[in-house]
Amino acid sequence: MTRSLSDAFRFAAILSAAQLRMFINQTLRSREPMRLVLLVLGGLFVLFLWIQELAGTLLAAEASRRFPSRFGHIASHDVLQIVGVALVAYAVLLMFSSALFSLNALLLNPDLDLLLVTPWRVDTVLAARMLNQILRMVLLSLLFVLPLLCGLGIILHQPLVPLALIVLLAVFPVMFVIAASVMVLAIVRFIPPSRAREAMAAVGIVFAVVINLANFLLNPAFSSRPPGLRPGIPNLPLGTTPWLPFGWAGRAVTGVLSGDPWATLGWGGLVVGVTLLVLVLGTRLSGVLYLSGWAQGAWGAPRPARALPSAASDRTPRRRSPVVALVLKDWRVRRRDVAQLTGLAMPFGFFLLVLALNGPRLMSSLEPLGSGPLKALTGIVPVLLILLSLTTALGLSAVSLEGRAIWVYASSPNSMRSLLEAKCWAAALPTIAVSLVMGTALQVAIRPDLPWAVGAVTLLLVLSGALACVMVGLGGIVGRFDWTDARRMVHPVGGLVALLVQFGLIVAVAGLVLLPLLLASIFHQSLLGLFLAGVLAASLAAVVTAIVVLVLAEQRLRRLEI
Amino acid sequence: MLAAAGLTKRYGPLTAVDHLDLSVGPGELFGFLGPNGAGKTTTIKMLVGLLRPTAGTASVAGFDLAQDPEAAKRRIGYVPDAAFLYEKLTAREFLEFSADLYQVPPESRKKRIETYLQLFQLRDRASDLLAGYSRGMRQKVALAAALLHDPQVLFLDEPTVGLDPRSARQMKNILLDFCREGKTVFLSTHILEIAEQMCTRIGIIDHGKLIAVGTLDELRQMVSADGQSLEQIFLQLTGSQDEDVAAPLVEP
Repeated sequence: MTRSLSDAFRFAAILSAAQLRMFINQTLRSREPMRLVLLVLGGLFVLFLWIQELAGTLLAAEASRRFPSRFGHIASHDVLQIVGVALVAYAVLLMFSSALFSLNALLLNPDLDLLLVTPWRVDTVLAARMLNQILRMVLLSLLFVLPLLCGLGIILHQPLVPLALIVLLAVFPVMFVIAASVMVLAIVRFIPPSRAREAMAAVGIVFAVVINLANFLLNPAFSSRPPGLRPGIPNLPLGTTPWLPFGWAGRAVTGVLSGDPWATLGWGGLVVGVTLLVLVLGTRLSGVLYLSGWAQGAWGAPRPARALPSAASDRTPRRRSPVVALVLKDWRVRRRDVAQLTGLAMPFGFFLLVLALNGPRLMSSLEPLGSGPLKALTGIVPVLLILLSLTTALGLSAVSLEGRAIWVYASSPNSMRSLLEAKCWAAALPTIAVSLVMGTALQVAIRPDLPWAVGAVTLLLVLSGALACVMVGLGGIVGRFDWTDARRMVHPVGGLVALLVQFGLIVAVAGLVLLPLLLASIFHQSLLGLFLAGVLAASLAAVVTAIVVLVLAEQRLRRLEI
Repeated sequence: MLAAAGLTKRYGPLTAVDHLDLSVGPGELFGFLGPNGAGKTTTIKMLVGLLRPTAGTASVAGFDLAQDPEAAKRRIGYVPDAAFLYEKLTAREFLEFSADLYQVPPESRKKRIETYLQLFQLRDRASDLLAGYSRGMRQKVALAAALLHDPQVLFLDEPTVGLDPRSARQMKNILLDFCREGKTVFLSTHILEIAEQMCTRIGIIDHGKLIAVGTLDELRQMVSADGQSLEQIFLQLTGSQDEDVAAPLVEP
């Protein structure tokens, strides 16, 4: 037992060293000025947040000491309740991230094969990866709470307090990470490798639903209470029961904070002991599960041979232009990627939820605007919010959607201009369709006068198309084609700049439309004439921006080397 | 059919391909050999227009790749060493997509797709997504896509990697038939037996320089060694024949 544990720790140390080396290679040794600048800026930002958190903790403690009547007394059972809720939330997060990590490692990440051909036991390799993940989780947690822990040490005049809490923070995640990994190993054989990303998206959706449902059911802010009563602490017996790890760790933390060494050692020892047991048994079980052959699991049933009848028929296929072929291909690729579809659908779900919960209140708040241009323009604002997400999802990723398969197009006798043209169609058509439907529906719902409604929807349609094309162009400028991971296909800094350009364009368009309205009210000019002039100017500005960005994108793509 | 003059590619201080001069005629199956990192893939990528040469020119079927890349590419078929395909398309859809990209005439497109699906034994799984394909099957799909538009010059980078012996044999036959039609194959491979059996001429690149070009007999004359195998010639030319490189790894 000791041998297998020490082997796991040794292997985890090797992995951690390799990861640290990769991190250093990608940052300090990259010799790329931008990366170094970002690293320094990131470090300074973290330092700033740490100082802020430490100062906030000390100030809150001082305020609580000076004005106890205002802040109230916090009893030890309150501390246990708060820590219990925090630990349950942390455990859910750990289970979720571990499940994702394990799915990714088993189905998508080829490096597991590399590790498994080494002369180490399978359970050692798997345990090492779990330990490695726990280390990363602990470091990530410390990034957020280290100043708070140090602040508690200062407030309580106990320098050992941060150390004890860090030990608990390091030990507590182990059992949850191992439990999640073992569960994934048990179920992964039923997931076809080609459906890995969809499976991961499903885990993400389940997590989002669980978190929101739990928040809705448990958060006292959502429960009805007499007016004037301050929100209380969520009552979660699961977090405080002495029969579960949350309660043990919570009591150990309470012991640390109240300076009770016996409670700390007793409950903390229980956490450590059970963790060791779970570590040994869990890693053995994961080795057995792995060796029982997850890789020989489901590969997915062959798709029904839908294409065969058309192949068998004598109908001559139509000649499609490369642009149409690309649009069709993108449609197929996007439609079959459940993960992407989920990402596209979520803003709509959120929008409908907000509308369902606050629809009447929002409608009544529009009444003071009358039935003129301001009402019509306010009606397109929700669609603009959806557009931000839609044009990012469809436009910014359009060019890099080709990924490493860009060689197919780049080696074909077609210009990069037609690639961009196709990508613009593929992104703009659904965006315009969505804008048309949502924009019209909202105008019908809020009922401004017809000319204003038509003007607002026209502006929305032009802006949708232009914004989609702008994002396609920006995606062409900042897209990368040497990654297999779809999330890394756009340069992160470039992506941020693209989002700023997108936001800036919307603000500029809003300014160009609102300025004539302001002038009309000041100089008592024809409101409709100036409104239409504003719509025309804004539309032209959006279209010109799109053309400029697309020209720049074409220049970049023509120089592309694969 | 294929010509390169002074073709050079530099990455900062590293010269990956150094003033490469080469000419390959119609009907030739040209084998392009070299140690790892010698510059084979870089050369091929320049010849198919995926990389821009730092210096020099390249032309395919009389069309300069820098001046008229689209006309040149229309006559090129290319299969990279690890062909990344769209995983969310089926094999048939991918071939249709390729046919669209290369504007294969509608009247012959369907027949060609079906022929190649049949030829590469992919028809039963032509409706499956490429995500579920093995490396060898992906390689077959990539080759089928490269042949679909009836190119004049076919560039293949390690084409037999991942193929089972039957498929590898089939591929060899396809390439030989292709050359018999007066078309050109430019083949990069590490498998010297393939080059020895199939290639009409062989070029050897080392450290970015084309150190030898000719038929097998011409290469033998070059190293003054009658009856030597291509492997021996290759090792001699690339300077690794007598080096017992494994010696330091063998325990005394």
